[in-house]
Amino acid sequence: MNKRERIFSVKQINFHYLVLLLLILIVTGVMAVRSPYFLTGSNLQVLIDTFIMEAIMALGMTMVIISGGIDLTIAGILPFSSIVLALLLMNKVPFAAAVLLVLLAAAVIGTITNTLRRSLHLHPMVVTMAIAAVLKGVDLTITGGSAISGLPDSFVRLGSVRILGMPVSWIVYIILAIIFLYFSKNNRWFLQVFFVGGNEDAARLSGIKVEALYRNVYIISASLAAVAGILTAITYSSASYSYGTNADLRVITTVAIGGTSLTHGGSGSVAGTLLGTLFMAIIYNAFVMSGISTYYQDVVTGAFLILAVLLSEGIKVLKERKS
Amino acid sequence: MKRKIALGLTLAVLASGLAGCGNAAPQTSGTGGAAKSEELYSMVVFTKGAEYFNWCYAGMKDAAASIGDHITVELQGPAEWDASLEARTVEQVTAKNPTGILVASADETTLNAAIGKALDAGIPVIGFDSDAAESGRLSYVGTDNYDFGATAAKSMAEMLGGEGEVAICMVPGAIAQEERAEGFKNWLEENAPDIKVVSELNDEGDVAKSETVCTALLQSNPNIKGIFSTHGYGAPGAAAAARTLNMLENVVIIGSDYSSAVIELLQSGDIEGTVVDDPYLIGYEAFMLAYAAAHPTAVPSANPPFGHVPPVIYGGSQLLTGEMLEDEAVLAKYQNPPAVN
Repeated sequence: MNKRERIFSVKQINFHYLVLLLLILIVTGVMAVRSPYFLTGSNLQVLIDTFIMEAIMALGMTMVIISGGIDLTIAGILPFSSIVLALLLMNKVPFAAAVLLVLLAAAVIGTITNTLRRSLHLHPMVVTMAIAAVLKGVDLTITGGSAISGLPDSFVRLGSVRILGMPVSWIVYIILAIIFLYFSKNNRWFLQVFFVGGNEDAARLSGIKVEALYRNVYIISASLAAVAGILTAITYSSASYSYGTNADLRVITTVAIGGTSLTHGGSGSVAGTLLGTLFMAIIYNAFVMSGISTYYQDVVTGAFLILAVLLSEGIKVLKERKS
Repeated sequence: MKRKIALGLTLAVLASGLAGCGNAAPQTSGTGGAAKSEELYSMVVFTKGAEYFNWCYAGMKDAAASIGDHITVELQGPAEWDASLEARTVEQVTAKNPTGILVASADETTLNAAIGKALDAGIPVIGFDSDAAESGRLSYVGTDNYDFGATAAKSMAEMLGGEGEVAICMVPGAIAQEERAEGFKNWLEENAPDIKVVSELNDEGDVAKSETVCTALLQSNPNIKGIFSTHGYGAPGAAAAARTLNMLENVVIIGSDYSSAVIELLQSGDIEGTVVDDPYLIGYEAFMLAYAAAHPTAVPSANPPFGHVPPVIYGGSQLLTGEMLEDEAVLAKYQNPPAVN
């Protein structure tokens, strides 16, 4: 990449970020004026709590989408993980072992997802949608539709644990976000994901183990969905097949708004996803705070998604035309 | 140039979206009076957009209107049936510091912490329709499902002349439905012992599945004289099964709740009745309780610092028949549910 191209691509990402930041500031400003409760400590806490699970899953989804794929299994893995964790705990399995077993199960599911994708030559959207459907059916069968409660007291108390004033889910997210952000710039494997997503054949020819990389990407995404499911069970001291419904759409929207391209692999960033996460969290909170109708909410979210995609794709076209 | 267009478009959409916020309608209504401080009451439901909850909200709006125009009401909640999303909505609503919250819980446990936090913040919480009994909510307004089942049993007994074999179609594990089935069976045992419940089928709450299990039922047991479905999708399925087997004349079908499919079948006579409860009344009374809880009197209540509320109010249920639908006014009510934006 010559100097001019590198500068241009930096400008491309920066422009997208600038627009996002501007939108974030505008919405925050408008809401702060409209509602005296928007900038209160309790609302800001709630704002984060409302979107923290999606935030965690968005980190894994970013890598999947950059690799050229997509993962709809998360909407099935989240409730499945909360249910399996609850059942293990109620059967006196120690907490650490139960968590490890759940993560292992998710890794297995991620592996199965990738194997089906590869061996059946199916688009990841189809495979992951099917697996999510199976998992949701399993969830309903296991729980019979009711929520699982009556979890051990020690587990229930975890929901009130605060480290530095923050719940466990926030701490987990902060650690994961830092890891992903740092690694996406400095870790060889993460950088390989960009390469494979951009040009799978070139990556393969240059010696990268492409199949192993795809498998790991789906394992990571599945594992993060399991983490979200575990944290959800902790937060609500309960497990239900209903958790995570449509979370896949919210997570994918977050990643797309952050600038990661859904149509071309190899393009995107964790930093963009972090900004997209902040934006979505604010928007969802603003919806409830302002009391606007659900129908407007869907229109607004959809509009922003379209704009985000147009922005990132439009800039790409501009770049290609110039070079 | 393209960047400017993109930026301009973005800001335009944003501006119009937020302008839409300005017209968004938390509803205010009612007669004027002495200046009173503004109050906000939030109704939080799951599957927002569902007709049943729109009725509840209509009741809440009218109740608020009858008190005064200083009261604003709003309807919040996720469009999907996700209890964790609904719990988060309750927390978001709590952060707005409303005067009261009415909540229909997506399940019995997930919202407990969020409801507890609202109560700790001094906001009265009234449960309605689907209860979270252990959340500490001050009161519950809903349907007595045992009574609901008993209403069905009474009608079934009348239509069958007091004897025969009947079956129940339901979703096992759904608490409201278990209670309706229980109420149905108990009433029959006590009042029409010659009517025997010979089968309880799981139709998974789905009309196609209901048709399948009812077909199997009627084929294996042609003596079945009546089928009761504890939810809204069972009766159309049972009717389809009976029609295919040419047994519509011999089988009395009574459903629960209503939908346009059920209304049509009632009018054509394929099903003999459906038990309906009163979501409008439930929403109306739930609001009144929230208002009462937010306005304690000089005499301390059982839930200080909140005002006096009873532990539970049931909205009652009745049988809706095709005959009743011949009245234009009644038909209009069931065919034109309130629209909520």
